[in-house]
Amino acid sequence: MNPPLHKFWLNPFLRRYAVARLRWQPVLIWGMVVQSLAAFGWLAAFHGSRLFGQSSAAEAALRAWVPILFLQGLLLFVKGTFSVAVGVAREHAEGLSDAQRLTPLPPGHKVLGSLLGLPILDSLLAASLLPWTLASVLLGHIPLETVIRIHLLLGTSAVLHHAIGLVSGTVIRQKIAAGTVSQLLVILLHVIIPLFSKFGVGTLGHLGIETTIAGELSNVSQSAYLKKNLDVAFFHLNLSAAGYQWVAMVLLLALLVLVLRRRWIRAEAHLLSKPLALLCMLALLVSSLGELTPDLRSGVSLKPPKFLLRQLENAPVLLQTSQQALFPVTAMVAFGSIGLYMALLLSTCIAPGPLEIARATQSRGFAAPHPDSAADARSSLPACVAMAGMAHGAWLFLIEQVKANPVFQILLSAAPNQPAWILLAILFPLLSWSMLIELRGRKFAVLLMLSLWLAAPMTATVCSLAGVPFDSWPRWLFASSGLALPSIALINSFKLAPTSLHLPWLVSTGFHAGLCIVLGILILARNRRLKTSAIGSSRS
Amino acid sequence: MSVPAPHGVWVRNLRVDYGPFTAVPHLDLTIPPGEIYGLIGPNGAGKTSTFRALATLLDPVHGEIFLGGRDARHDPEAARAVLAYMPDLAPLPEDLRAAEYLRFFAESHGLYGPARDQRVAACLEAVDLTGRQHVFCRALSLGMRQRLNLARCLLHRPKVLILDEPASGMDVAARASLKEALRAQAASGTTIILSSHILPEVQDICSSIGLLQNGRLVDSGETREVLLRQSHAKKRLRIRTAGSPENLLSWLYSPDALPAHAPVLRGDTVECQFAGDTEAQARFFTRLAGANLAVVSLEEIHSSIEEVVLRLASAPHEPAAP
Repeated sequence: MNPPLHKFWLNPFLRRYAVARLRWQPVLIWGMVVQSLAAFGWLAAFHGSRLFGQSSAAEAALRAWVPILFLQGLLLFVKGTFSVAVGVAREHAEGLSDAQRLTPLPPGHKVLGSLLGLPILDSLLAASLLPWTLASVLLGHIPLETVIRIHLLLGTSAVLHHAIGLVSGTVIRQKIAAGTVSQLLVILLHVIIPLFSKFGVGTLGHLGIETTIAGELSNVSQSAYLKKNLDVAFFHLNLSAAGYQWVAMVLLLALLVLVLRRRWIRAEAHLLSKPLALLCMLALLVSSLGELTPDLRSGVSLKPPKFLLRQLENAPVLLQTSQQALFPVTAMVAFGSIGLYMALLLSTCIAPGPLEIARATQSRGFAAPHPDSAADARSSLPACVAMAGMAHGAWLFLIEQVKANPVFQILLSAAPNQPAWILLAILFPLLSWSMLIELRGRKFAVLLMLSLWLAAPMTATVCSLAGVPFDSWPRWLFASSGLALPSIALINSFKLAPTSLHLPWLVSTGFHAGLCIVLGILILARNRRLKTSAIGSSRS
Repeated sequence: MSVPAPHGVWVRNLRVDYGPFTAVPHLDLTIPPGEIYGLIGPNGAGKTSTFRALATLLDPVHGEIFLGGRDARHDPEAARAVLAYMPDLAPLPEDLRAAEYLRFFAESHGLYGPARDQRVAACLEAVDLTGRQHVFCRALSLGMRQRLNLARCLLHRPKVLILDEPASGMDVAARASLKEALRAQAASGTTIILSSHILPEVQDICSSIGLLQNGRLVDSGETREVLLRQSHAKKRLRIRTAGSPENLLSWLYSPDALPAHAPVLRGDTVECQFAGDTEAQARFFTRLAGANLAVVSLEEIHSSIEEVVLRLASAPHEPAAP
């Protein structure tokens, strides 16, 4: 009998990694290195604050906690994530994971054991810094509530990072590549996504915990540095940043665990099932809207990029309104595109390749395959239509929420037809992307569509910066990209650009609609051919 | 639809593809419990693909697979509880000792405490590795690694044991101990299906064999019967005469000797191939006796398992059905 999940110390995977990774030599060497760094960091920060900052002992102890937290973050996020990604990729590459997959341990146990076991040395090293934390807590009179909140965030974020490492190691299966990708993802989570999160996907900005921890520390600090508002406005609610962040991290962690579980059961399984992809889309849209609508309603925090400000100076509508209109419009335009990008990402995870479809067709007439395998091989097009509908619905909801704002009333009165445009602008690129995957596979789709979709607007931008008038051919090139269609639809609707992009947009949308029809006919012909050959081979 | 075997291995309509390449176009297989079954064929015949599909590690295009009475396609988790698979040159974790490695798998099968330690010790003893339990896996020789993997497979007393080239890297003594261990497992009711390039051993250990060519089972059954059938497919005769063998050789070239052909002189005997059924063979003997060649002995030479596999390997390559 396998032990229950909550008795995690009996988990064979955890015990196996504990035995292998907690041998006395590496523990001793790493322990000495980490303790030396911690001692230096804590003592230098404490005495430095006393000497140069003229801080009290309590304030100095609080500041001395920062290098300890930083070191714990390095150990857990950077070293731990790397260990997990490389460890699991190595086991896949060497074929060890096959033997592990064959054990009758439930997949949930395997995921939990790997998640806790692979970074066990790093977790232990991070835990070994707790005496320094205790010193700060006692000397700094830090409330226990703050300490618990910070450690809960740190721990949850560490497990989330390790789950990301586990997924990258499971998907990539080459240890150097998996390790590199895991490190890039850490940088993405902590540096890049927070920079862009304000343009529509605010939830992702909460995955890096530095700001919240700094805010928690500043709350208990006697000095006024890093004073921040720690509330998150979510629709009509004001939520605590730490609580909101924790919930967001737990939800993402649950999603990653589901992905890993699917892969433990079937090595060839899609990362997401179709219902799960729809659920993800819904969750992302709701969380994005939740954070965006209060910003747009109050109209204070979003700032448009400078190049857009310059571009918009001559915009016919905006000249008649105040500069306040700029930021909500930027967010609205960004949100239209973000719906498409989310749907493209999710449809890439759920669209079956041509070989999967061929296998599913050939298996007809024989015993039914595994239900998960059959579900993965089903067409993703209905799910894509649903995702486009969701993105469109979210955009309409956003309009509904912000139209009480007088600026928007002017904008909306200038753009009566925008709802239909935005739906078409999301639907056709999304469907053509998924159809191309179903017809020729992911690699082909990525190579062809992304190179065209990215190359076209980039070339147009470079050429117009180099002096070619945007009004001439660059606007056609720019509008030909499927990725730009939702933004252009909104720019057109709100009459934001002095140059008319309406005709190029119509031509490009028509082209993508035509592409959908051609690809649809090719898919139907292919499916008919496959069915005929499957009937022939089953008869023979 | 036939009723699946309650135990053993039962496979119907199995098809395995790698992208556009079909490795196993169609395979039906029934192996009763307690049997040691050798799947024989040249490289690329589809042995490893079949094994991986049986072991639930490869999703076949279609087919039904029952292992020890469990539906491996619809309930792979249940099938995994009763099967063990040892791939060709199975990897070992470099960072664990031999006993630690076995303890991990014993715990994964729900064995803890003294029961786990006893089972680990018994399996190490079964593969003659008791003295190496504290050695790191990375320090074991190739043969020892194979034996340790076999010990891992035996831990949970599987009902179905799938072994891909289990004797790779083993010396003579280790192979003898492997045979002993496998026979003991089969005697306890375990169905064993194996492949090996050491064909005399397969002939020696397997109670039945299947010949695989281009992913199709060409012949299957008890080892002796299969070899006999394959021998009849391309029969050879060895004839010795009291007089000069050259006389016999020249007679074998004459039209009277048909359907014997391709005679070869080997010392004082002549070997030839014979393409005919039993009646043709009887008529041939009568004509040979009437040829006044003073025949001393005449024997039928059975094909060895190597010859059968060589014949399969050199047979024209039929493309698999799409």
